[in-house]
Amino acid sequence: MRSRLLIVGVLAVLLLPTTFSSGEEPSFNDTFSLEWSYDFGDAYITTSPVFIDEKLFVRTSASWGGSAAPTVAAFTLDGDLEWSATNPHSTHHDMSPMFHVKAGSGDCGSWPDMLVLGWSDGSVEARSTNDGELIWSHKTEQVVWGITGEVAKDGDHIVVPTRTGLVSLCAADGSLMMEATTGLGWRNGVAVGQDDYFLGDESGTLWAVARNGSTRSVDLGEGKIRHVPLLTSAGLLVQLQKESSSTIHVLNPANLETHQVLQIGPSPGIPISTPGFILVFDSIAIRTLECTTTCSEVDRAPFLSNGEIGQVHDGQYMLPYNGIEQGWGLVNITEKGLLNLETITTGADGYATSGPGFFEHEDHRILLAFGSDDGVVYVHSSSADGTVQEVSESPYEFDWVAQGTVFLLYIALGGAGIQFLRGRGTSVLKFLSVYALLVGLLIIDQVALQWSQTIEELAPSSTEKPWDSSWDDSWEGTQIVSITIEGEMYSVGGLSGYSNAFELTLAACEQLGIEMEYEMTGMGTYVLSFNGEIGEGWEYTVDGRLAMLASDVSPIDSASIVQWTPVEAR
Amino acid sequence: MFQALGTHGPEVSPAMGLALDVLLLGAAFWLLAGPNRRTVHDIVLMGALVVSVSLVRVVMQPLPNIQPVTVACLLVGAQLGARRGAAFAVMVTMLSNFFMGDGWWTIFQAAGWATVAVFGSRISLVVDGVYNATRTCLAAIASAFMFGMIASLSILDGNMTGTDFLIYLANGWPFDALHALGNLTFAIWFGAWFSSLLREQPTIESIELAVVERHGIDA
Repeated sequence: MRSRLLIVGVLAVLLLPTTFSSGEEPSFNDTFSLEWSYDFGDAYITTSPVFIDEKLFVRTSASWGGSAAPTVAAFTLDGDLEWSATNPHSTHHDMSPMFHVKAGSGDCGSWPDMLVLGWSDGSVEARSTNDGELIWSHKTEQVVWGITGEVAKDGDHIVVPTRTGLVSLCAADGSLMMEATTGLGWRNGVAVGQDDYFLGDESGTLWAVARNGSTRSVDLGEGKIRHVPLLTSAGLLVQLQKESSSTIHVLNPANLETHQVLQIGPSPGIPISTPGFILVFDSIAIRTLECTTTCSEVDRAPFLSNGEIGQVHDGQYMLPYNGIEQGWGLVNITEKGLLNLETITTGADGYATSGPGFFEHEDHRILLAFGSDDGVVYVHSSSADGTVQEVSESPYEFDWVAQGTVFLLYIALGGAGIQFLRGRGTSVLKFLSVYALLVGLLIIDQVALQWSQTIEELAPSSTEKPWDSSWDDSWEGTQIVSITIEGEMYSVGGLSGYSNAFELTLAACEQLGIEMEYEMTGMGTYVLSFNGEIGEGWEYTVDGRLAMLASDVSPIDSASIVQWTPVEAR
Repeated sequence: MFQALGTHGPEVSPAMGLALDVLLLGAAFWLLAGPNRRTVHDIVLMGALVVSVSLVRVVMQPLPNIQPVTVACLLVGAQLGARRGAAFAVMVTMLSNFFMGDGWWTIFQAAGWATVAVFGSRISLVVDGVYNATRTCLAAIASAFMFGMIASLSILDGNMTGTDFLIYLANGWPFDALHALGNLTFAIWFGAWFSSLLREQPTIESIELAVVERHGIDA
């Protein structure tokens, strides 16, 4: 009897993995349903809808070839249009996020609850959130377009990133308090620091503008800075968007010196700070970074998004997939910074770039607003107690592999239990062996990865580093990459600050003008081709030793030499 | 001959590939050409086994390092002997790699499975027609690591040091462990059945001879 109880206990423990895998949270489509939608016609919605008190504000941008004028509109929570204002002089790219300023007062006067809007014709407007009435406006320079970046507030000043620099306006009447000239900007949101305002430009220059208007700048290299710089514990975090990849620079805000460079994918979106982590995303993946004294990548999940991201219910985040294959990403960040990504359908799917609007009513009803590139805003809501409101006709995607594996696990354990009760020890072993094999198949990727990383750490390092006579002597002691394509070696050295072979290779490709294709798998990122050359596959050495890990999990030091060769040519 | 070196060893030229195929096929026929005359039943059985086990290997290719061939080689070696077991291993490797990808590594895989077959023939998995399940399970686990070791030799080239090779081998241990787990599952589920399938059937001549000897009938 005792031995039977013991075995039943063991079986119960073995069941745990399947319990965990099947005990999932209710999905988005079970909790939310479409409440209402509004079609703005042939316009884009490229900035997130904003809930303020019990109103929803939506702004549109002119679409290419469309006739609808850029508009800001206010709706009740039930979808009734309260007011709208258009700017017929505005052009395309009205993507400066709406900025809500609560009623207040300061040295320059007092102001009501208002919405500050930057327009692509260079004008800045403050409008009453109550009825849309214009409170004040200010005109800045338009060079093809005007204001496209995110506005900020500093005390009683409204700080506006303009096309040619930055202006500081009195929140009460819009009078000009300070003006500074920087490089030409695009989506060049401004961050308010302790001593300076920080913003980037289209030449890859980061600007620090003091409150008296004096400027300092640092050239981060060829590329574009298209977001609000983030102030983190490690320093000022800035993304430099390049042609086929991007870099994250972490700078000392006091002297603007870069002390860390991280590699990310092409066309990065606007990063945000979350409690404990930074979320960055691009055409390849969404990543969590942990920034303490330096920033390091904690986790990543494949996803294509290039615009905004926003916080929604339960501390989660949502961002649109910038393509037709998937809808929106619902991101959950664990305490350790690991990402759980669910893709959902909202209506505003396909090539969207605006973030979500989020509102939690006093009765705990949650409203989410999604803007689409088709000019339609979709408002979803949960019921008051957060339970299912109605059965939605969502295209539920059944994961055959996951569900099938869980089913087989149950069969295997059930079979083992039945055979045990029938007293057939051999048959118990049969079913348990299937269970063990299934578990082995489920975990082999991660086990192999962890094991390889352990070996990599324990293995003696290569004593003699390879050196090619064609390399510049000044490269010695720096990070070097060589790529042999069709028998010809392309090399670049003098690199520094990269922490794994993949990041270093991406940076090298950027400098060498080589196009690299890669894919992300459960065991890491694998390089498929350089300049379209696939061959029998590619392999690489680190300091002359054949690497056994995917390049993005292969650590390198400050003087590592990474050499890529096609399988045919080693 | 050898065009280049890669993750599986040298990349072979078409001429070298043909030479390797001829070598492997020759080895298989030499192993099968034993002193005893094979019956049609033997030949059909061997052909059917080679085709079906190859098919199972190809079908199970998406599962990482789940190798039904290993246990099959072990039991063929145990029931039909080392020569036929090794010939079976070579032919299954050649046929399945024809679909999965042929190259320098085929020689080492064939050698690995042939070694497993010889191993199976030497460790008394079947004694007096009685199948020993426990011993088969243990042998199946050991065979996974044995095969992994031999197949990994294909990576060796002039540039690789002993340390590099040991690191390469160590990196493969999780996959060898999964291979062992797969072998164990196959052995538990199908070992006895597959072994009985391979059991030598008495020929008409041997039955007649036995009857004659028992009843003392003179010809």
